[in-house]
Formats: sequence, C-alpha cells, structure tokens
Amino acid sequence: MTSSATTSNFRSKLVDVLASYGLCCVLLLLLFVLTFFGTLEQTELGLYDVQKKYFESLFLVHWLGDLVPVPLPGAYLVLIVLGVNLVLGGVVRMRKTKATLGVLVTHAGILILLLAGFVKLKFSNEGHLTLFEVGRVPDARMTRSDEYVSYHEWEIAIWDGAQERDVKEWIIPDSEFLSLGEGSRTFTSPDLPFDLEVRRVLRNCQALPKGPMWKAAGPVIDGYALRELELARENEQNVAGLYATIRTSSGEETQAILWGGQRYPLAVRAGGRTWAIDLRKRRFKMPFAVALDKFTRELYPGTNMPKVFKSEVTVYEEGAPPTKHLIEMNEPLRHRGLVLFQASWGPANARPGDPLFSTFAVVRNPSDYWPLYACIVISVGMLLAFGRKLVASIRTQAKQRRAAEQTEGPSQAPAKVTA
Amino acid sequence: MRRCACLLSLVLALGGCDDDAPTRAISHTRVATVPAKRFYAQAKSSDRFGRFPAAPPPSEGSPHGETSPAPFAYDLPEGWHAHPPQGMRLLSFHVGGGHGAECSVVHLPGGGGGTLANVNRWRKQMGLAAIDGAALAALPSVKVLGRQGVLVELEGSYSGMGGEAKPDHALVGVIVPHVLSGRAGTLFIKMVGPKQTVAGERAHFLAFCSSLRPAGDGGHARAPADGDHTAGAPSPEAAGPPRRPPLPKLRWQTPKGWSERGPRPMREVTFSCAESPGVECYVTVLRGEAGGVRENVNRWRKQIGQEPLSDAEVSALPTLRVLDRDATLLDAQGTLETRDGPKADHRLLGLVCPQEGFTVFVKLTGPAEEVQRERTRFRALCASLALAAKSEEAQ
Repeated sequence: MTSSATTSNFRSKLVDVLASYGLCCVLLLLLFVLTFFGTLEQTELGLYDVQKKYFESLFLVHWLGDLVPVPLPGAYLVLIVLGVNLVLGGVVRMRKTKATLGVLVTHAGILILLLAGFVKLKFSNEGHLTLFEVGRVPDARMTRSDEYVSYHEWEIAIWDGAQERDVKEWIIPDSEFLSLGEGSRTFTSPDLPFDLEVRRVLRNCQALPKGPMWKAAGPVIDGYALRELELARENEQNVAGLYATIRTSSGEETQAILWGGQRYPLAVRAGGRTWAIDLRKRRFKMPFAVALDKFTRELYPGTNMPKVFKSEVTVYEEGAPPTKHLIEMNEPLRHRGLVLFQASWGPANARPGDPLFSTFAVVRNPSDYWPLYACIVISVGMLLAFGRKLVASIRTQAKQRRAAEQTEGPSQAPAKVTA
Repeated sequence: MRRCACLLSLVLALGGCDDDAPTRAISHTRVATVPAKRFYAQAKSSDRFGRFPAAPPPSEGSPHGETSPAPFAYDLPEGWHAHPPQGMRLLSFHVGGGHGAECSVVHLPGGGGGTLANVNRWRKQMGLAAIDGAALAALPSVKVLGRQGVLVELEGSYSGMGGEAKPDHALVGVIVPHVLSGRAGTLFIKMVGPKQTVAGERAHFLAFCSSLRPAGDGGHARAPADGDHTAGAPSPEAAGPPRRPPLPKLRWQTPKGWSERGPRPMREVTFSCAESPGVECYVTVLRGEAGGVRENVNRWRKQIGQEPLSDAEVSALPTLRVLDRDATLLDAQGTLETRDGPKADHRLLGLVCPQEGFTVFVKLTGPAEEVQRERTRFRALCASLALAAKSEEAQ
C-alpha cells in the first residue's frame, strides 16, 4: 500500500471517528462529568478558579478525595471537538434532503450557540462601574465615569502626573508580571525616561507598616513591607502587590512597593517630570460616560432582602445630547455593545442619610444576542423536523382512514330502498 | 515526514517564545479621559497605604498645610494637647502638662492580632507576664463608639517598642472593635506615662474614650462650644472645654431576682439576673440628646443585625412612661454583635428616654428565651426610674 493511500485511509478513519455518534455521546458525557466535578470543586475553590480550571482549559487533573488523580479534558477542548463533531457528523456528512432539513437547521443553531460561547470566551470582557450620586461626594470621578474596572485582572499603569485630561497611560497587563513570583522582569519604553523592574509579585498581600508583631519576608521600604496572605477563595478578594525598582536614564534608582489597595499612585521624578505608577485592577474604556443621578433602594420590611433597587443614570456621548436611563434589577442598559446591569449597592453599613453608591456589572460581549438567535434557529429547526413528522403522521392517518372507509364502505352502505 | 518536520518546527517555535525574557517593552497604551486616581506627588508610603486620605496638596485644600480630617471627633480633656498624628496613629496627644505621658488612637483591620495578644503585648511593654483568656474575660469593659471594649490598666517598667525600660510607669488602654471607613477592625486607645501622671489623667482618659464619635456625625457631635474637636484640626487649645453641670443621678427599684453588679464606666448601674445568667441589663445617662432617639434605636438595631428604621417607623414604636416622659421602647431579635463575636438568637430590649438636658438609656440583652423571661422585670425597672433627690446625689 502506498503512503498516500495510507494517509488517505487514516484521514478517512479520523473523520469517521470525529463525525461519529459515539464520540458525540462521549463528549456529552464528559461535559456532564466536568460540570459535576466543577460544581463540587466550588466548595474548595472560588467560582473564578473553577471556571478557569474546568471550563476554560484544555486539560486538567481532578483529584478524587485528594488521593486519586483523574486526568480529564477541559470543557474548552471538549466543546471544540463537539463543534467539529457537529460540523462533520451533523452537517457535512448528513444527507441533505427535505426529511433532514429540520435536523440540519437544529444543528446549525447548536453550532451558533457553541460559537457564541467561543466568542464570549475570547473577545468579551466584564467588570464593574461604581458611582455615587452626583453632588453627594466631592470627587467628580466617583459620580461620573467612562471606564469600568475588571473584577479579576490587574495592570500596572504609568502616566505623567501633571496631566489632568486625556491622559496617556502606558499599561503593563498582569499576564506579563503576575506569575513572576520571586522572579523579576524589567519593562521599558522609548517614551519613558525610566525602566521599571518588577519583582517579588504576590497575588494576595497587604502593605503594612513593619512593626514587632510580624516578620516581613521582603525588604522594608519607607517603613512598609508586603505581608503575604493566603489566597482568598473568591479571586476578587485577592489584592496583588509587588516590589519595584525605577531606574532613570541618569542612573538613579528608586525602590518602591506597589500594592493593589494603595490610595495614591507611586510618584517618581524622572526626565524633568513627575510620573505616577499604579498597580490597579484593569480598566476598560467605554465609548460613553455614565453619571448616577439618583439611586433608590427599598428593602422588605425588617429584612435585608432587596425589594427594589434602581439607578437613574445619564449617558453622555460625544456629539449627542445626554440621555436619561433607568437601570434596575433585570432591566439592564444596553448601549453601544455594552450591557450595564444593576449589580449591588453600598456601603453595607451605611446609616440613614449617608451617601450610597450603586454598582453596575458591565459586560462587553460581541455575541450577546447570539444565544437568542441560536434558540430561534434551533426552534425553527425543531419545528421543521417535528412539524414535518406531524404532517406526515396526519397524512398517514388520513390515508389509513380513507383506506379503511373504502374497504368497509360497501358493507356499511345503507340498502337502497326501492318502491 | 515533511508533516512531522513542520509540526516539530511549530512546537519549537512556540516553545521558543521568549516567555521568560528578563526585559520586555511596554506595548500597550491607552488614553484615559481623566486620571483614574487622584495623584499626590508628595504622598509617602503611609499616605499611599494608610486607610485615610493624606494631607491634600496645596492646590486642593488648605494652603496652610492642615492635616486631613480623620474619622473621629472628641472632647479634648483639659490639659491635653493634640499633636499631628504620626504613622499608624489616627490621634495623638500630650497628656498631663508635659510630664511625659501621651495618649494615642490606632485602628487596625480585623482583630489586629486578637484582643488577648494585644493585651499581652501591652503587658510585655510594661514588663509584666502574659495572662490567659480567663483573666482577659475578667477585665472590666468600657463602652467606646457604641461598642464594649476591654479596659486594661497596668503598672510597671515601660519599655515601649523595645526602647529603654522606664520604671514607675503606668498604662491605661482600651481595645474595642470598630468599623472604620467600611472596614471592620479594632481600635486601640492607649495612654502611657509616669504612674502619677497616668493616675491623675485616668478620669480624663475615660471621658475622652466615651466622647469619641464619628467625625461629622451631626447626631453625635456636640456644639463646638462644648470644646468639640475634630482630629487633625484641633481648635485653639487655650479656649479649653467649659465646665458643664453634672449629670443628674437616678434611683430605681431593683426587680426581684436581679442583683446589682459592681460599678462600670459610663453606667449608672448594671444588673445580672439569677434565673437568666445570659442576660445583662444596665442603665446609662448621657448628656443632651446623645444622638437622638432614632440614631440610638438604629444603633441598637444594627448591633443585633437589623435594618435601621425610618423616622415614621421609630415614631410607631411602643412607648413607656418613664420620668414623666414617653420613652421609646425597642424590642429586636437577631444576631447580637458582642465583644466575644456574634451571638445568634439573641434579643435586645432597649429604652431611650430623652429628658431636659440628658437622656436615659436602659438596655437588656441576652439569649432570646431568657430575655422573654425577664421582659416584665425590665419594664418594671424602667417604670421605677426616678431622679434622685439632691441629698441622695450628694451622698
């Protein structure tokens, strides 16, 4: 047998396997197992970590009772293979006749659903926007904003401290430093008069004044050091921190601590300007600004259960008049590809008359409506498939009835009465 | 074969990605409409990592370099001098006319290491042996910012933070849980100095502790004429606090089965109940409105994990005739915040009775079942309250 024939044979077998019902069943079973294990794992890990481990990974190892390791494909890989399986088995190889039209359309709908998930995973982001009512706090940044803040991701931002509007920021995403641990890395830019060396990165820590009550693992800078804390189950609660060295082109070095909970950015003098360096949660810019005009909350009497909480906001867009909107539970604001949900409010310990803030969950998801479209397509497909069967069944029954009438007709016909 | 070579190249290419490169170029930039955070070029580490705003830069605030507002207002005792807070200290005072005594207020998140550990830290500073939990439980308590705190009084050789030991010194301190700027934590109020000075300033210290209240809290703040101070912005000390008339004394009929316990700071009387060992009841008299009925009702409701009530809801609460006035009665059940942590299924009976120039508070707490048993006696105690005659006050 020639090598091309072997290759062709192998390819054919591979396609057979990939398009098979058997594989489809195995994949669905794996999804069930992953969902089951992932749900159980949430008692140990937070939602974010479980999502990363079980549903956004290619492979993982699940431990049964901390004793038996169970290697599993991640849901990300399973869904990719399921998509291939569906395309090959449910679309490409399927007979295209009137009878299979409904099933084909249904499969197309499922593919749209899978694609929506993929697009969301790869191209969406989400965060929160917290605003106080206009006029209730002195800092205007806290009442109106065109940015939302990631729940999980960090970034180091550098900007010229003298700038007050249209501030150019140099951004180092956390993918470039968060996993450094005890290692170090230097970040440079030809536009900046200094290099920034980052080292001893901690995922959860607290910047504390060094006192006799605790021992600092890292250097003490300006009386403060980072105290490492155990990773919180809910990733949002972890506050990152790191040690930094700023080296100017003239050879000066500044040692500093950057901590995610810091009130002010680090100020560094270099190149005749004062630069701000901040470790903060990643910020996403919106194509419009939102201001909170009024926040209303009502609780069920005698409980902490919210009856109503709603936010009256104004949306400011360049070149357009401001528009008023109401955001409340299950009634988000959808605007320019973003969805703003009423998520929470605070502070939790607010007393009557205290200024309250309203927090919106902001989601940018290009495939926001795709699941809806997928459901419509799947419904149409199922309607075609089952409708056709129904019509066929009705026709068959009608035919059987007519046949029965014809065979039984002469005997049942009344006798002719003759005069 | 060719396919294998391609695959190998791809793997090598991926593997060869310079993921561990010691130097990287910053490739991402963006333009923010306004800076995400207020920038303060002179910010020190204590400003950046502290829990309170740093002194504002001249362009934003006072050109005179005043320190920023801190979270407490207080009545400055006579002879005390506020000085700018340093490091972790929110408030700092010279006490007793320059005889080496000082008082400081520090807030730490969470338990700050735990009450016992901190009491023992103070004891170590005074050259004393550590105590255990039982001894800690026996320490007297004092109410600060609406919560019960532990009052610690020590004498010995003070060595502070590892400095030279100073003999014949004394320390009076209070450790009390307190939520500051939305963060649950612990407040440490400490006065330390020569034994004589501290003994002379003890009453001032306790008065200072009881006068602490949230800054800008209109309900709790007294008129500036009362010598009110806000941390960091002390008023002219020369003015000094004016003398105030003493609070009236009360008398009462101790309900059957109840017994009076020893004197406690800020309390007229504390009762324990023989049949209900978990129940504690006490009477307090505070000057003026002490924040008002609604504030105090809601403070108590908060202590027991209940939502605050509106003015209308407070007005609808039942009343009891006490001292010829209609006093507001509160009966709330839930999880009670105590010094030893939250206690579920507890109940709080409270009475707020505003009078001319002062307010009487009666509070009873304990497990719900026991409180139900003592409810009638609580009402009887409230109804029995009367102003002591002048001759009784003199005694």
